[in-house]
Amino acid sequence: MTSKITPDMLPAFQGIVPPTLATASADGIPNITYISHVQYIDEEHLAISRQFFNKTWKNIDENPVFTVAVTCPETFSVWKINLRYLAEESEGPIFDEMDMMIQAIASMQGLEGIFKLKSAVVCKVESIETLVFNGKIV
Amino acid sequence: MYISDKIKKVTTSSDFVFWTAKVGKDGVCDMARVSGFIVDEDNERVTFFIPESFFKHIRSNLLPGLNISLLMVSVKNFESYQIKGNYISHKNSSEENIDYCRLKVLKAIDIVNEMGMNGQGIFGYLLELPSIAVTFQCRECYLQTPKPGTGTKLTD
Repeated sequence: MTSKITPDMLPAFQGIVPPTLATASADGIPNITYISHVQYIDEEHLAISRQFFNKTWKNIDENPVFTVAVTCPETFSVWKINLRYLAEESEGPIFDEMDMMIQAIASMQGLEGIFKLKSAVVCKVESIETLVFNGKIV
Repeated sequence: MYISDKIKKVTTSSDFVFWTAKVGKDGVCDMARVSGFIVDEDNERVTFFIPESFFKHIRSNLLPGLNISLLMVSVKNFESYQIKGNYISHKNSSEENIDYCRLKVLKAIDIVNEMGMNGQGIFGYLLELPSIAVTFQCRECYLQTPKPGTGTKLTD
């Protein structure tokens, strides 16, 4: 297990395969959902796109450590990344870059107008675990 | 709670991706891909099938009554549902279960290939054996298709 994003993981943040986000309420109820995008900031920080996720947001408010699974579209490796909430940004370079990516993803998926970005949720990478490596479950 | 008819229809489709999640002792979610699921005849219990090598990622503190969720998302149009419930038990998948999942996964691979993506890469590892059948009691069903109002509880 590591706690830094490595170069081989970077294609997983290109917005090709939708990431899966799992959060937990304070009383231990999991909530799991697809999200549009996880954006690479640096090897220790990622940002997740906030569009709807009402229950997810309530859970993050109660329990700021949560999990995202991302898939490399080239090797189909899957990583489970534990994240800690740091900040929510609704303007600035991280938000602007994510907004452009969300619009591109929405266009590719025929969902223009639905995927409106509310904010970029900046997170610290706490730990990373490989679930699938080069097509094999680890 | 009874399983929504919308969710039961998913068991007749092959274009869905499944994930399960539960919360570990540290308060953080454990999650893994799932090969498929069925709804019990009582219409209240769900059994999902998961490669054993993925099951190890959710096995710790998996005791009867623990909260567990199952997400299903269509790769075609992102139609999505989530079932929340309480873990009951697990056992090795039967030959019938394995055959059911194999057909579903192979069909999913074809569907994804037809979409111009690598179906084997996205779904192939879900055919790994042995497979575990995990049964839980449904408590709530949610519509999670990405659109305004997503997260609505299904009551039908």
